[in-house]
Amino acid sequence: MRIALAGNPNSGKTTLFNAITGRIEHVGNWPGVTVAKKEGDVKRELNRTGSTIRAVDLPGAYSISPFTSEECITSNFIRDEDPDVIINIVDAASLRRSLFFTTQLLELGIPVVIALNKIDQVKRKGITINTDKLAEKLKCKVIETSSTRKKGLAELIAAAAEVRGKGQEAPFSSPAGLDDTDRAGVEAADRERFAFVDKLVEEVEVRKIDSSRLTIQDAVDRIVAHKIWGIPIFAVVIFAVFSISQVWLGPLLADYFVGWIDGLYAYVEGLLGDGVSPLLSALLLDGIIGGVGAVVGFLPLIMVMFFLLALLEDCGYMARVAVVMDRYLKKVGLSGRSIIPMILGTGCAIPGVMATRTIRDPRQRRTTAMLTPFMPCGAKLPVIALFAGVFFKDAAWVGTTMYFMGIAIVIVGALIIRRIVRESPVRSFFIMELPEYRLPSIKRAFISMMSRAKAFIIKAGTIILVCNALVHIMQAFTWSFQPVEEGMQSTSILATLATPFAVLLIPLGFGAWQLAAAALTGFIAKENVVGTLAVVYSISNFIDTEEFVLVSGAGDVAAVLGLTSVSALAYLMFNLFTPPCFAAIGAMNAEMGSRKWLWAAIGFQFGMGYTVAYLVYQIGTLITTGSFGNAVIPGFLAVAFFIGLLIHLMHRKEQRASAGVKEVA
Amino acid sequence: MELAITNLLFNRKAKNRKLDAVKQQNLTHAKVNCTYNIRGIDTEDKCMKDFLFTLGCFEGEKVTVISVLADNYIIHVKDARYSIDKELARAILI
Amino acid sequence: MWQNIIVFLVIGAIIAGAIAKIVIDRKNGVKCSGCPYSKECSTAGMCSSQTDLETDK
Repeated sequence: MRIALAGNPNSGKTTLFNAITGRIEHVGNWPGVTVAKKEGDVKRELNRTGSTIRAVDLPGAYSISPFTSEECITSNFIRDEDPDVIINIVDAASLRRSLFFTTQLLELGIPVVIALNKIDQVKRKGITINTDKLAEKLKCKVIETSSTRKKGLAELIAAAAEVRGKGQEAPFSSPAGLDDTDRAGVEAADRERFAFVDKLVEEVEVRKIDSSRLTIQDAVDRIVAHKIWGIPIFAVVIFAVFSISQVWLGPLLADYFVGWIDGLYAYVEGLLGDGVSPLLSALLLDGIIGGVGAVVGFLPLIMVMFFLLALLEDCGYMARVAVVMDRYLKKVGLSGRSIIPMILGTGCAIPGVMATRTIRDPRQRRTTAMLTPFMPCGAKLPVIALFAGVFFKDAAWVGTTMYFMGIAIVIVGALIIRRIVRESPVRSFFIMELPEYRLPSIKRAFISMMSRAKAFIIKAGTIILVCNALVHIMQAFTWSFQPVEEGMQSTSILATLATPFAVLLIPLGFGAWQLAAAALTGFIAKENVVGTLAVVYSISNFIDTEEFVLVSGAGDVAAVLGLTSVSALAYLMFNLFTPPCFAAIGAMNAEMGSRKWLWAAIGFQFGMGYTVAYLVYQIGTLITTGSFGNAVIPGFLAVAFFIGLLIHLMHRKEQRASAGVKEVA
Repeated sequence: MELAITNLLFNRKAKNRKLDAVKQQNLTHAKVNCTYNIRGIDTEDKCMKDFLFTLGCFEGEKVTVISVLADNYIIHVKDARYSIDKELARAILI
Repeated sequence: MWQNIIVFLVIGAIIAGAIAKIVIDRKNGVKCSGCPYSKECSTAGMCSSQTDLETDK
């Protein structure tokens, strides 16, 4: 049998879904984390029927009549796919609003079981609900649940199994023969429906505290979502996240972890012995173990960071960040909704870009899809950690700056795109339910961290591994498939392929082919930047750098890479703010639905990354050494061309107000 | 040009004839922590109106502005809280 | 020589395994192996709806 989980946004559907199926879907303490339906089988220990029960988690909806794309999925599923039972998850704290949807569900004739969720929170607030009376009035079973504490779940499933096939009586029906296009009629019926709900709630609920008053939560909100202080507070929070993950706790764990990787390296080295061809052993040791090891070495740092970010999301802070950011995004012509793809983009740009689907206005949707990849995603964290560690003594400001640079570029980018592309006459508005602050659950954060860590390891063991092996082979052989001779590295396949690109990067302060190759492999997956650097410079350990000094005697990693602090920063920014990995570009293509926009986006991202790196390198060099860096003039010409092109496009838009789409940059 | 303006004025008039009678006070003018009765939703956007309706935000209902955060208004309607932007707050007449 | 063959096979097996995983994932609709939640569109979108000009006519 199939049961559908339906309810208002942020009523805890996905948490309940995870609790009854044992799956790990992304849950956030804010409305609308689920956008597509998800299916899973109910766990054996909760299911006493003996047959499989399939649960379908649907996106949140406020009513059966769809106003948003998420609501559309929900109402279509319930109407067309005919689930056996609907479990309606109701946030017990807001019955007045939630039961509106419930009464609509009850009219469909499909048996409904109500899960009165968050019941523990409600009791703490001094609200008592007469469940029996509610069940009697609504003519369906009502089960008190708490999905976060896993209470009432077995009862809920048992109740659902029991009512299967029984049909459903509606406590309130809209007048028969009501036509959906009859606006006045529908509105009148809905008004009555609300009146019915109000009366019902009056009878079953006793509230001791009037929740329309200012609470401590609101007082906190006034500070963290303050007009002026909101951003600095967010900066401090991000700084703290980087400090803990990169300066305090992260390296501590990473040291152990890297020790194991080094141990593995030494063990395999011993196993191979002298009889093996040096080419093969180098491929296995430096290419595969070294390259993957260098990336995986950052896992502890990243896990700590994922853990902290999961805590922030769980406690309800990220929803406040959305409120603070909304204001700025509005000013640059984006929708308030654009903030969600961007926050998701800090995890991975792909779901971020996909989330732009919920923005209806095409211009805003495409602009958001174009700008979301500028947010530093999880794959870019090892790159940030590497450069912060090697060049800036693990300073937490490096990562924080990259986040805020990302935000700044998004804002500047949005301003530019708005001036190039005709503004659509669509007005958008933004409404969001602010979830209550709650004590973040260590367990939930731990589960979220582990699932992301698993994903990271899978990625390192697949894409990164294959890339590193290829990079190693390409740098070990010449075009005539002869092994590269000692001291003749520039004849390798990799070097000859990367050198033309390296020339372009001279004005940015990093003209070495090795660095160009690393940046290029970064388009396959950004972690590859770390892996490729490890392979081409034969560094397997970027974290325990003191040990490295002893081994190589070449001073330190910074000296091996041949970068100054300024050019390292420029290189880091170039990698972060150029186009994202191919998978993310694929997602952009899917959401933009226009080749023209896609190429314009890639061109814009590339130009942006180049310009930012150029400015950082040249201005930074001017400040630190008193003169400009390498090839200042050619770089200036390239940057001037890019900016000139943008200005030209802006002008053209002003002249031809009818020009619809941005030309290929 | 002239036509456009006339058109605009005419449309306005037709749509807001009823609303001109009441004082155009919307949620942005509301005092924090005071409960108001919603007098109506003034928007040309049918979708916005219908959506607000499903939240229980329609004339005759009570609304409280709990606080103003950045440019967002935190409102309390039907025992639930939402953060709405200025655009929406302007549409809710009290 | 036999050591070389073994090492070669081991490396081959590792890479083949990695490629096989990528290919299987792709068949299952995962666009990017190991990217968190890249399979489904999971969004923390919110309830907003926007003006369609047609709706008013």
